[in-house]
Amino acid sequence: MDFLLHSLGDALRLIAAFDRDLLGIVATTLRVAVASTAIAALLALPPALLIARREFPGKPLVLSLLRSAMAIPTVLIGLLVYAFIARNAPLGGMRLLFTPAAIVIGQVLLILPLITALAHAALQQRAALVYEEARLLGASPRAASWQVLVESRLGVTTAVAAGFGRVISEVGIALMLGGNIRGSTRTITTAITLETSQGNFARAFALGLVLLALVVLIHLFLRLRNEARAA
Amino acid sequence: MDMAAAEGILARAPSSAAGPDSGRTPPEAGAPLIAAQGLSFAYPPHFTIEIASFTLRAGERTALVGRNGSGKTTWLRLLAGLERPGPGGCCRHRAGLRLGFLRQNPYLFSGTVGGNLAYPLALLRLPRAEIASRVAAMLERIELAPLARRRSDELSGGERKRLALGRALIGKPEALLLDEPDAHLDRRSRSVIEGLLSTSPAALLFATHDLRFAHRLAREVLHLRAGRLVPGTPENVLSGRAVEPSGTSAGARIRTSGGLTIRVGHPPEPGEARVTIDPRSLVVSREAFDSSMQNQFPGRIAAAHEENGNVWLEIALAGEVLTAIVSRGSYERLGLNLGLPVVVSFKANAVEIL
Repeated sequence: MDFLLHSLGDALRLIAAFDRDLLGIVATTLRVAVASTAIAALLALPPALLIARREFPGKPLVLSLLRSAMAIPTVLIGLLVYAFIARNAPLGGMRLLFTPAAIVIGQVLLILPLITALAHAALQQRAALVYEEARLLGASPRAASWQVLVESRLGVTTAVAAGFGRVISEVGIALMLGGNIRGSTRTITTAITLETSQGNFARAFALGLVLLALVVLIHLFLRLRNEARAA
Repeated sequence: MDMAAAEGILARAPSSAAGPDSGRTPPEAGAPLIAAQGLSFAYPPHFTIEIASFTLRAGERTALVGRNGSGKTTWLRLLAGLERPGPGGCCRHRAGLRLGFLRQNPYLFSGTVGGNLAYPLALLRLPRAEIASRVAAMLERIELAPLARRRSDELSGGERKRLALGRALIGKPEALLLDEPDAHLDRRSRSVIEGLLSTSPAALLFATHDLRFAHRLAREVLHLRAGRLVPGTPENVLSGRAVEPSGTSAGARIRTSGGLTIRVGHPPEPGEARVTIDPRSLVVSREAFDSSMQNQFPGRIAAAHEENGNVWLEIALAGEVLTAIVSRGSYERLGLNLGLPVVVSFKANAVEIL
C-alpha cells in the first residue's frame, strides 16, 4: 500500500512538473486517436446511414457480422496489418511499419465496425423517415443524409465517442504497429506497458492518471454538449 | 408531353431544383401534374393495391375515401414516387413538378417551429431576409406565430399538423398529396387546415375518413376498397333537391335524383342538396316494422361482400343503391341472401347534409 501511495505521489509530481517527455506522449496519443476516430467516422457513417435507411436481403447477416466484428481483438488486427505493411510484405514499400500512420490504419480497422454498428443502432429508428421527409421538402440526397445525422446527433456522437474511447485506451495495435518508439509512436498505453515492465511505477501511474483524466474529460465534454443541445 | 418518369424517390430529381421563384411558368389549369397507369403494389398475404389509371391535373382537388387498410396511404405514396410500384406500371410527374406531401404523422425536425418552416427555403439558398419574411407570413397563416421559437416537440397534435402543412406549403408546391390531413384534430386546427387547403392554388389529392370534409374541399371523391377504386358514390352519398315543406307533411325532406324521398333531421338549404348516410346506421330487416325511424324503404340485396366479420350489403332501392354494414352474425340470423327483398330503415337524424 505504501508503495502504491508513494508511486502515486511521484506520479502527481511528474504531472505537475509538465514533464516534456510525458507531454510528448500525450500529444502523440491524442493526434493518433483523433485521426483514427475522424477517419473511421467518415468511413463508417455513410454505410451506417445506408444500412439504417434501406431494407435489403442479407441485412440481418450484415448486422450480426458488424456486431461480431466489434469484438475483434486488437492484437489480431495488429497482426493482420503487420502482415501487409512489414518490410517484405505487399505494402512494405510504403515504409509504414512503426509510424503513427500504421497505428492509425490499425485503429481505423478496429473501430470501423464499432462506429458503424452503434451509429446504425442510433439511426435505424428514424433514418428512413427523416430522409424521406427531407427529400420531400426539396433536399438533395446529400442534404437529406446530413439531416438524418443531425436528427440523431446524440446517438451518432455517442457512437463516435465510443470509437475514440476504444482507440485511446487500446494497446495491442499501438504496440505492434507503432513499435513504441520514443518521440514518434509512443502512446500513453504503450508507455505504461514499458514503464511498468522497467519498474518505473511512478511514471506508469502518472501516464495512467493522464489517460483516465483524458477519457473522463472527453466524456464530460460530450455529455455537457449533448445536454446543452437537448435543452 | 414533357414528363419525367418517377422511379422512386432516389431516382427523382429534387422537386424544388428549379426553385419556387425561378420564374418557371406555372402549369395551366387542367395540365396533368401526376399521371399514373397500371400501378400496382403487392401486400403479399392480403391484397394488391392497384391504380389502373389516375391523373391529377392542375387546379383539381380530389379526395380519396375508404376505410382503414383500404390502401389510401399506399395510393398516395405510389403517386408521390415514394414506393416502387410492381412491374409494368408507370407514374409520371410533370417535369420539375414541385410536389408536397403531408404524412398522416408528419415528422418534424428537432429545433424550433420557425426552423422547421425555414428548412425548405434554406435548401433553396434564399436570402435570409426573404426566408424570415416568408416564415413569418406562414406562421400567421397556420396561427402559430406566438410559438415561433417553441421547440417542435413541445407542440400539440393539432399544432404539429398545422406546422407540417405550413412547411409543405411554404415552398409553394404545384401538387400536394395529403394523408388524412383532418385526422385527430382539435376544432381550431381543423379549421386552419381546411382554410389553408381551400385557398391553396396547389392541386390536391387527399385521403380522409370524413366524407363531409372530402365533399367540402374536393370536387371529386374517389372511393377505395381493398386497394382498388370502386365505382359509384362512396358510402351512400345521394344528391337531390330539398323538398318544399307542404301543408300536412311535417319535417324536412330531400328528393334524390334517383327519386327517393328522404326525411332529414335538419332542414337543408333550398335547392341542390347532397346527403350521406353512414352505412353503419342503416337497419336492415326482412319486413317493415313500426319504429321511431322516419325513413323506411323496401329494396333488394344487390351485392354482398364480407370484410372483417362484417357484411357490406348493397341494397337496391327504387332508383338508389344504399350500402349497409351488418355483422356476419346478423346476416346469417336474418337469412339474408343476394336478391332477397329487404327493408332498409334509418332515422332522419342519421342523414348528414354535405
